[in-house]
Amino acid sequence: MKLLSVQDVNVFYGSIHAIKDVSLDVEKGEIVTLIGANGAGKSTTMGAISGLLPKKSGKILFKDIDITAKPAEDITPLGIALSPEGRGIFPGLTVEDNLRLGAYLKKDKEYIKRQYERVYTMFPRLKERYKQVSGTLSGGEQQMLAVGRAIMSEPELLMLDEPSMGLAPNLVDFIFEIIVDINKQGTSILLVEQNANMALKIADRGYVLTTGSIVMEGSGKELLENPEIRKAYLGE
Amino acid sequence: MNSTFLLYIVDGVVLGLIYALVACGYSLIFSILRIVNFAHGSIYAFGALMTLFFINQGINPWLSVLITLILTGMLEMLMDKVCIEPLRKRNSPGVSTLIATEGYSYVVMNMLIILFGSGRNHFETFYDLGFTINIGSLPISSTKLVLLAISGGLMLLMTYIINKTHVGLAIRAVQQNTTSARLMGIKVNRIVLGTFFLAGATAAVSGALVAGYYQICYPTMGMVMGNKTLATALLGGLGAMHGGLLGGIIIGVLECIVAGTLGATYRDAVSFVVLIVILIFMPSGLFGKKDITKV
Ligand SMILES: Nc1ncnc2c1ncn2[C@@H]1O[C@H](COP(=O)(O)OP(=O)(O)O)[C@@H](O)[C@H]1O
Ligand SMILES: [Mg+2]
Repeated sequence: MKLLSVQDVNVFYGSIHAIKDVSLDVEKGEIVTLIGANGAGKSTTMGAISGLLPKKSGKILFKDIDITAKPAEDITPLGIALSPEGRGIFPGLTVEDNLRLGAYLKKDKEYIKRQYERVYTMFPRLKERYKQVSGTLSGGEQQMLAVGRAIMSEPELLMLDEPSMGLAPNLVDFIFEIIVDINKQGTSILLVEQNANMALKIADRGYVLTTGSIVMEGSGKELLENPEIRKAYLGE
Repeated sequence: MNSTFLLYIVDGVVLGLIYALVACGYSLIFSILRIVNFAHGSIYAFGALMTLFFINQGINPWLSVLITLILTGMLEMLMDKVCIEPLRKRNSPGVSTLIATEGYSYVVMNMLIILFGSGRNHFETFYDLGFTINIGSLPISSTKLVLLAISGGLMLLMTYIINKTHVGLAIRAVQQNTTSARLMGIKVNRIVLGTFFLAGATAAVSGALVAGYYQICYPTMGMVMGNKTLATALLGGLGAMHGGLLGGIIIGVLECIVAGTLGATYRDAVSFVVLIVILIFMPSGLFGKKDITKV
């Protein structure tokens, strides 16, 4: 079943045409990755899906519901969570308050408790620091917090915008393991990465974005073996 | 210390808490929208005059305050809806919003003049419990105690709402990062409206209390108060409520000392002199964040 279907979407910043007729799908249970160089339009695509950016044309369906014109605050409750580029944590709030906000719309105390436990099991570092003001966390810890916050409400679709950005290599491995783990627990994932190699390795399918247009798509394996991709994105 | 001096301090603290309560309104709105609401003073005057209006209709004074509190909160929400939200949607520069609130201020003030006349109205103290307690040789009237209790209590209540409740968590989230708050499913415009309501409600209570304390109210009573409490909020660090409390007490106490020693003529200038001196040495106020731009 198609969980997310993006159809011919165009987004402008003033007169800048940032994404052009972008179409992509995420099936239930998949990890789909969107790769592309800096400025290709990856974050814009994520912003368009999550409802942060207005669409000039095109259509976006989530679970067959038309969400094209819905603002972010009305899309979140449908089951989409975005961990934005740059993490977007609330720096003056504690780790636990940040996590609580991830499930802001849920009122059931028992449920919230279970979710804290789930996140803390995945990221023991966050548990150690649950009372710490999150702006004082290290970059890696902030990234864990951003991902942890995004899964607090058990979204059906988790969107991650460059979760490995700025992390030390061992932390990059850890974050990718976590992504696979979250997916195994039943969450579909749309992953934006500049680290194309890692992303394609864990992805079921991938799309390649170049200056606002999707120029290639295929299974993770196909893209990983494609000579053009290897040249352009894997530094060969 | 002689007892006159102690009296200045007690009076200054009483006054300071009221300043802090009014300053809360500036801080709340600033911390969410990064704008200074120049209508706050007029809205405070609206609170005082409307309370008097209801009392004059024979309604119990406390009930009058309660009705006015709700009306005043709505008046602030209306300001957001008609003149701030439209500008926010169009990403207008901050200075446009500033002028818009200034404009709203004059509309409210003129409306008050039309309804109540521009003259001064007598406002009977409605919270004189008729006793005085003595601390040592220092007499403290029940009016001062009630004023202290209510303004202190309201400050505590606001602190509780913001730091301990679910809505408060959303308010803090919006203060820190509006985009992320939306991603959490928070309806930012509702939070902003709620914040305006709180700002209006506290201004209304302060207006009624101060009018009762000095037994007088008039449509332009918010001008000096508005500026002085903006100084209070700046002194504490805009957006920091505990800072406003300290700022209020500093200004209140200095004002009472100056009024008592140099004469009442100079009392209003004190707060601004203090403000300027402190801002020279601590540009973001006593408790302000160094970086005031929004993340
Ligand atoms: N807020 C903005 N205003 C104007 N142009 C923008 C804005 N954000 C992104 N762009 C432009 O849109 C294009 C796509 O950007 P983005 O989606 O951030 O790319 P990516 O995430 O792939 O690096 C770039 O050319 C970028 O300069
Ligand atoms: Mg990006």
